[in-house]
Amino acid sequence: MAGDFKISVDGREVTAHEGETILQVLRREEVETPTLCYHDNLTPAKACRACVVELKGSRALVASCERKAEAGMEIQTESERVVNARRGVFELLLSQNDTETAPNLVAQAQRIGADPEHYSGLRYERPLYDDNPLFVRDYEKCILCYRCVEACGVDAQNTFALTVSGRGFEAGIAAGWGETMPDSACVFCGNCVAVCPTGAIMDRREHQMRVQGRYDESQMQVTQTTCSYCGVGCQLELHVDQRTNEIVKVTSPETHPVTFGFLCVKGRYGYSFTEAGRE
Amino acid sequence: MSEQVLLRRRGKVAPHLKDYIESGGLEGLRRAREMGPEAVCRLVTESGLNGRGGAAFPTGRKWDAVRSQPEPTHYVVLNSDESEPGTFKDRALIDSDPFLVMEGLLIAAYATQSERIFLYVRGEYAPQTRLLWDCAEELAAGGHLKGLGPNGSDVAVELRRGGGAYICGEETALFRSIEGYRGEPMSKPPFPTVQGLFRKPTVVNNVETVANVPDILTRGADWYKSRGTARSSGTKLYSISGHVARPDVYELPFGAKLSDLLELAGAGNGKPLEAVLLGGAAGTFVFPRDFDVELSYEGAAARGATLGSGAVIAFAEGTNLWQVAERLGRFFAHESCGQCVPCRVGTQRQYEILHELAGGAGGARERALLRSLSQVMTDASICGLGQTASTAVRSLLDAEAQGALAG
Amino acid sequence: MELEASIRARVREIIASRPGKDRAQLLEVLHEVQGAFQSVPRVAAEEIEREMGVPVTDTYGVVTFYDLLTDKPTGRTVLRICEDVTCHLHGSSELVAAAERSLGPEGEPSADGSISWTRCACLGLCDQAPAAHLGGEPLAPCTPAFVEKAGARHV
Repeated sequence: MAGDFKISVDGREVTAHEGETILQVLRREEVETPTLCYHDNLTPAKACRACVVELKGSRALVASCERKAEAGMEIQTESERVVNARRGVFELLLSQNDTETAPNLVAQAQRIGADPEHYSGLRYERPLYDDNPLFVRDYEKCILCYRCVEACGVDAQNTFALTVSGRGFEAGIAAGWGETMPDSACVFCGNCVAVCPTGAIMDRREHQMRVQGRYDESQMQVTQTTCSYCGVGCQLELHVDQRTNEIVKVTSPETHPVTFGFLCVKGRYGYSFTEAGRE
Repeated sequence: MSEQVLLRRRGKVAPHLKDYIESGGLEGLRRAREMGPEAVCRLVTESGLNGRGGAAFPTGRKWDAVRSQPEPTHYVVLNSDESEPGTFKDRALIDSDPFLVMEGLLIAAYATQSERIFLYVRGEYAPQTRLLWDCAEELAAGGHLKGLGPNGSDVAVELRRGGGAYICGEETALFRSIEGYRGEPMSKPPFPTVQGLFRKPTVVNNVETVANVPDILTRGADWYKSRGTARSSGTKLYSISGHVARPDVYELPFGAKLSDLLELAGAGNGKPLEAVLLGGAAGTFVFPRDFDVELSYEGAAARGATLGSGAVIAFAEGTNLWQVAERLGRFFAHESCGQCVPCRVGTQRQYEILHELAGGAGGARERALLRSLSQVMTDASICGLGQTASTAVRSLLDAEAQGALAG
Repeated sequence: MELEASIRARVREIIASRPGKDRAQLLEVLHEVQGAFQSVPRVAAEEIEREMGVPVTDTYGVVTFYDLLTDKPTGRTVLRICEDVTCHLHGSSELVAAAERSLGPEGEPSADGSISWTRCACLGLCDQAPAAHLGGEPLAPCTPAFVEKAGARHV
């Protein structure tokens, strides 16, 4: 195909397409690559460094999610430096965060042999923000992946209610002027919830069920439907608790050509009419 | 004291354009205008001038890369965000000869055919900001910015005061800062010479770097190369502080020995030194057995050290170097922008471990932990801050393992 | 309300004094706002959003990023004490102790709002250690006696 070229991955020659990132090539070639901040529909934040690879000629390792493949690149994904760096990233996060609602992070950490006890020291100690009826923010779970800021900003919503604030270990996500969600510019689309990889921002209903010990993933049944509010045609996934026949949360598939996983406040949270008349 | 080039007007000339011109100033800019941009780039390349901010990239090549970009809008940025602990040479240079810095910048703008110069001065340098800005205004009033830009247009000068963030000395973070964002570094490539400030080809030069340029224009590349070593041309400014009798900025040709510099400054005040920290917070500890190290990029590298920005902090015998390292660790933890995991969490963990060692606690396990953490930060951080935040610590661990540490 | 209106008016003046209203003016605008009000208050950010199109939350991200900008009030004069390597060798901890004694807790304005103090990173005055800044101007070498005098004058 025009625009195709070869790169070398772990000594094996593979084909890359013009404009592809290294990560895209690795995924197609089924080279397992851990990722945390990367999201298919958002600008790569290259912040977590879980996906780093060794690129010949580059002094430091490079983030495969961001770096475009170029003809002739020689990439190592299993070198000692790569293995050590990736494990280090997970070990550092495990030493900092509450990972209770981040099964994906924990599974990847286990797969690469990260030791949760490797580092000790100050953990994130941050307040829980339960300041609105729709979602809860628990920043002890936040790994600062930038996804929510990007989704709230130019990548999807253009609302600009969220920012990264502070610096260093004190850096974190803030709403508006470091205030409650209702005081900020938030329109409660919940797209920050949709992209959060660790459950740091979580729909309030799910959060409450978890607190009460009622949340059971195996009892969730997903029903596909189309949003009934307007003519755009957003596809919805209703996550229904089979035990109570109650909608716990609403999402949209990230691959859906209309939504790319993003919804508005009505689509994501406007479902209480389905419960009308219930006890 | 050897010949003073960059500091020759120190304490002698009031910062007025008239005095500057009377003492030979602006002759380099005049020569540059005669030669044309391409020849200026060639001359600066021939001189062997390397960037003095720490990375030592050949200045002429950088200029020429920007000059020859097809994109017509180019910028020059003066990186005067000097914030490396132990470094104050740019402050002293602006104080002593602000017009020399401005003249070098105007030549840079002309050589790269840039339409605008940004003076990015660290926010803590209020007196130097005033000096540079006054000079820029005098130069503009005197018509010296005329015709320097692309196609004979005038070059504009704009001022930006830094907000108090070490990371903004990193060039991509500096761009973000000028553009009105948090100073979070971006990945390279794309390199600034291709996509820099406002995504336009941009030259970023350190204060000391541009101050070398006017003399290269007036006295030529051969004169310039006659000072220094084969691979490090010219003279270098060193900021020396700590346990020394005469802390100050010293100018020495490349190739001088560290011991010469220490003697000039009266290091140790008569007492022997434990070590010096060479190259700033991101530099390395150098011990007495290596005080004969040649101060040049290649000389330092041969001993596993780095000149960095030319900072030298001296520690008298008996100084607890782990306590020094703890200070460095705290500095990096405070200055990490927080963007990437290895640096954000890594600098914090490094500081915590150093805190233990500084207090006399911690043993082999903590030392091993520091080493593995260092590897993660060096390999996986986005930018130079995280990549070098453990350099000094590693040099201390090495010295300790080799028995070079007293006590 | 009157205070808020006067802050808004001053912020508009500051923005109008810049060569443009593009985002690249933000850092300079924030320096001026900080200088005028000893912090960047939310209303200033609202005015910046209206005039320059920079979202309030982006300004918050920027203000909290830089050491010289604050969203919390500081004293009309700020004493900054360097605690990095060289200054530490030359007794910066005595300056910090003197400040704690005579100026109160770090970061908190004195009762009359005239002064606050904070520790800071290297000020580039290592040749005159221990170094401090008072109201943005160098104060080096600084002594515990001076810190106490500043306290006596201001508190």
